[in-house]
Amino acid sequence: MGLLALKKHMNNTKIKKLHKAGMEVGEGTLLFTSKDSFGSEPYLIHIGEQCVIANGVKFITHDGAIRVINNREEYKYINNKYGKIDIKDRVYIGENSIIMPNVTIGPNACVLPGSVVYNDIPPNTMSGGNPVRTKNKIEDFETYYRTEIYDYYQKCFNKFYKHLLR
Amino acid sequence: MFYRLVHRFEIKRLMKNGLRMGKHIILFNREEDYGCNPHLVSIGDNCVITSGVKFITNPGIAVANTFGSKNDSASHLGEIIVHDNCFIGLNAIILPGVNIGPNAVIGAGAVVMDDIEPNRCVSGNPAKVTCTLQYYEKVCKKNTTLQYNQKTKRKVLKQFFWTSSKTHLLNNKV
Repeated sequence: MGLLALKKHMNNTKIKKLHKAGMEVGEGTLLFTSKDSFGSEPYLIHIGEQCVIANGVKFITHDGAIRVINNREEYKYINNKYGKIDIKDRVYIGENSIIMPNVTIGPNACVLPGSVVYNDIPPNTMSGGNPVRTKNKIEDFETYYRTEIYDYYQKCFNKFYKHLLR
Repeated sequence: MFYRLVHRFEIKRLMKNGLRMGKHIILFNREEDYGCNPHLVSIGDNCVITSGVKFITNPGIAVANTFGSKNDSASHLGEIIVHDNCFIGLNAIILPGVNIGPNAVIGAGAVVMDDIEPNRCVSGNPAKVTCTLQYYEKVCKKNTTLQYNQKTKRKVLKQFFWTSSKTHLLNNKV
């Protein structure tokens, strides 16, 4: 078994375990997180098709801060606050970012690393920061990537690896 | 089960090193997060400190700028005091010389640089006041109370969020 095949196998076993816990994961998603990062209620999380979720991302489905109020006798019987997390198709979530309850991240969205998502993220946008803000549309990034970065890599390839082609 | 045993052992070791703790505290924090001198941190009663919260009592500025002179490095140390009834969210970072007042809520991923007044909710990097605790109480009061046991919790919550159309009642964001 090659290294890449082993990684795929690990990913599939992780997804199977999460299915047992009640989470829904679409086809072709890549989870680089550990099983513990989906919190105490993984059945409140849906993840769509062809998503990438990077290392160290944390999903929070409850509000533990209600304990500050619960210590008083007046509010002793309020339940813990819960919320669902809905992640649609083709979403990238960067490293070490935190996602709060009652959030939907629209299709074709990109969350930059280290961001804390409090509000909904609209489709076809890039967003990041703490608290999260929308930076620009994903079409601009696509054109930037297709024109400038692609040429840059081609130049680098010609500069450093040309002797290999000879 | 094994993790719980290790965690209990770690807390005992922290207490031996001089961490001051009150009663009825919930800690999900690891030993590494308190740095090299945990005797500068004190935590009050009824606090909740979640996983990944970091208390920084000695920044690396002294080591980086003053080579060898040990007297200067002591001046950069700072005491962190967390008063009663506080909540500190996931992966928050607390810098030296900070007093966190009673009944304060710190959001997830916040970086706390200055003192926090009592009865405030704080979030962001750098941490800013988002609302008072009275407003937070109002939002929590609006929530519908779900009735469930430990066994029926999964079934009730799944039915409420993914099949029924009452979810807009819980969408009160702070």
